Amino acid sequence: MRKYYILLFMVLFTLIFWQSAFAVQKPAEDLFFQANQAYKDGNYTEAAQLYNELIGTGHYSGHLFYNLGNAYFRTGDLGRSILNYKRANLSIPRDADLKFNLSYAKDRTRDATEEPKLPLSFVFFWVDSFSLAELFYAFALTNFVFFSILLVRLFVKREWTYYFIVAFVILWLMTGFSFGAKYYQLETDQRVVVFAEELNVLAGPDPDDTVLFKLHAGTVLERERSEGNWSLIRLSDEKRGWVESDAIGRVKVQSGLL
Amino acid sequence: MKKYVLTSLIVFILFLPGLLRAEITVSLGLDRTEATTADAVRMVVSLDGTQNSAESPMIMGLDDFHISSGGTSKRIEIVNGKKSSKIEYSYYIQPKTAGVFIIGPASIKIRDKTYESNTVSLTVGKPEQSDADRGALFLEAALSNDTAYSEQQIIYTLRLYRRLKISDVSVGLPEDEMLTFRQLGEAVEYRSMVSGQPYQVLEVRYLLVPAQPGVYALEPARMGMNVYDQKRTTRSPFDDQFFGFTNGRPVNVTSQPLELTVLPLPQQGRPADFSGLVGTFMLNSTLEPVRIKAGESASLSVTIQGRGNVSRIPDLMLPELDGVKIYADQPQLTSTTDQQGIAGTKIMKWALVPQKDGSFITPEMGLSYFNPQTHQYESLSTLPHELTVLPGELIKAEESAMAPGAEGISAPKHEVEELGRDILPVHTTMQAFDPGLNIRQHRTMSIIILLAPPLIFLAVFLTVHLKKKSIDQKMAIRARKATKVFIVRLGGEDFSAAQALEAIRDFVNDRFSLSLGLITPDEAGSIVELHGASEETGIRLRDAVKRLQESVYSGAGKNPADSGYDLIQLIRRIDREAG
Repeated sequence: MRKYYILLFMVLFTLIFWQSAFAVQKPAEDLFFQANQAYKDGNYTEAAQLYNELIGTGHYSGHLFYNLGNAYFRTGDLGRSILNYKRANLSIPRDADLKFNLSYAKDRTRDATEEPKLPLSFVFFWVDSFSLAELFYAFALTNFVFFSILLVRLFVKREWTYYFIVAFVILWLMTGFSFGAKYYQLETDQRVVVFAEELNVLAGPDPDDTVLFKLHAGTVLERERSEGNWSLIRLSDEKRGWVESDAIGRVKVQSGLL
Repeated sequence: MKKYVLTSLIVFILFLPGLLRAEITVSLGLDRTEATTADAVRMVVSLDGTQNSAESPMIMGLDDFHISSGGTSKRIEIVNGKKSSKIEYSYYIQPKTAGVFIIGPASIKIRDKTYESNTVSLTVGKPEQSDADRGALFLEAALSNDTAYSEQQIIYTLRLYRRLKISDVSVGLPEDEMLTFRQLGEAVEYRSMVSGQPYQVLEVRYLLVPAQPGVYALEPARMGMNVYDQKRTTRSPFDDQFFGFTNGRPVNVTSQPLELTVLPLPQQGRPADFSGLVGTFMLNSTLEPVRIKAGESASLSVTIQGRGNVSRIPDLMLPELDGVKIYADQPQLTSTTDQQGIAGTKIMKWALVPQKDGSFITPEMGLSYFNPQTHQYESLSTLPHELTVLPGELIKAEESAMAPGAEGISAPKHEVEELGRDILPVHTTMQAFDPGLNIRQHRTMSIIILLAPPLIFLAVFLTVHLKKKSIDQKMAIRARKATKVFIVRLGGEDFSAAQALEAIRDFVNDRFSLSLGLITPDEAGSIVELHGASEETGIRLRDAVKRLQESVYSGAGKNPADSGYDLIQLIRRIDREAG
């Protein structure tokens, strides 16, 4: 009897897990094909609008952000193009097309600035090459195997179980810390991209404040904080200033992009 | 064998830095490029790449200076397995007269080879004449120009003259919305004479760039610090921590106010292509190679370098050239900050790919800037470069391939050349549409997936642990009740030898948590002795068991046994003595 309960629980578990993914599949699929067709026909503004609509429904696919970046690039909006390539890079960091297009778009920016580094990237340098989902899968698998071996060792105290536990403790720690570091990076990501063709960076959050320096579309920098419709941005210790928040876009998607 | 390998490895690691050491270079540097005849300038000759120099360097151009040695220092660094050695010779030089001096090169001979350094320029002025004693601590501010143009670089210098020990220095600069101050390098220290008094001078330089024309009254700059007055009366080391100095007291000193007149850039003679560039600049252009075949590529490079607001150097546009495809590279701007302000270089490159043979002249490109030193606009332009193009190999091969009887001749190979750049297309497969796992959207599920294995393990672990504990508890209860059970079984009525033997076996099993099927006299004795009973008790139990077994094996097992009183006493004794 207990066996049937477990089976029932597993079926329900699987259904709950997948239902949200399939719930809006049909209309979203149509939007995807419409957007691709608009892009193919050269209607890049319409394509960008449709891709945005699709992303708005919760389809945070790295490839969609890539397509949106392409559409913006074709409309000449370099800032939004780079922003969406950067967002795509979080999900599909090893995609060759994305790397090529991002590099090409960055070549066209005007400001010779160094891109801000994500926190912990110096120590966990490898996590840049993986998406959060990939690191989650790796950690979940290691976690499962590790505790399974511990479980086996409760009943079978053979020597091989000891060596397996030692090996998997290391793997478990590595994948766990990598996943944690990536999660922290994404949660605290303060990178923003300049949209405006030419953006005045001011000494204070007021249009009448002194212009400290100018930035141009596509430049990636760090946001320190926001006050009202103004954001304090930072290129280096010497180059900080206020810009209107509408003129920049955050790489981190508020509702979640992993 | 292992020992030899390890030894070789250690020797290799020890000698690796020596194998990777750098080449020998000599460099000459001054702590300032401007001074007065009252100042002592620190000069350092650095010898990189060796520690073996028997001789001191010979330095040219020091005829007009008083020289005193500042010591020699040696340093060895090993960074990433790379060893670097350095010797620094320090000198203090004081100019005898005002003027502009070229110092260097410094030359030094090492192992029969002479190495030479760079040269440096030092501008020496006359010191301000002041007969008044200005005290032990004062601050001076100076501008490199009293009159300047918008966006011209001006150097604002603060000099703190002191004859006292100080610490924790802070600086307050004049404030004006239209003026931007930027510190140029680190503060430098040197010695100087003012009104016949020796002073230690702390000099900080700032780049001042006026944004708009006007007359600016620069308020006095301020320096705050802790000052330690020198004690002359006491020699006791217990008076204070500085052995001759009192405790520090906070002191603020201010400079004199200054006035800066900023002129607008003149309208007269302003070129149409003027981009707002102010400073002094040079332009250089090269074409390499100058002789190529059709279809090959030549690189036209234009370098603009100078000192001023380098961020305003414009991107030059190369006009179209008939019969030549032009591919522009991304311009590269590099800027550096030194004691004289901001300097920079912008490099622009074009790939020229002629489509036919012949001779081509590169078109002229130029830019204009305002030179504040000459007070006028100046223009720079590229030189015309001639590009000679020969018929291409591809054309020749195509021609020869078309010729009769040319089958089987392979075409010549070329480097793959980038002829254009564009982005790659959108992703249209359904795989691109699949968002995959979004951990934030499925946060609960993700947590369950991660927590399920440890929770399952914990549950199983606790179950096993509790089960074991429960068995142990059961055994303990049985052990406690073993004597009572025995007395109940044998007390009151007559009993056979077989029953008595069985009762003893059960007692031993229950009392000591065992599961023996049969029990021998020796086993019974040993078990109770092992659990703390005395040897005598053990012997008595052996005897009792032996007697009962003899009754059973002789066929009288079912007959009533002797009175159980002795057995019950014996069992009670065992229970008492055993732990």
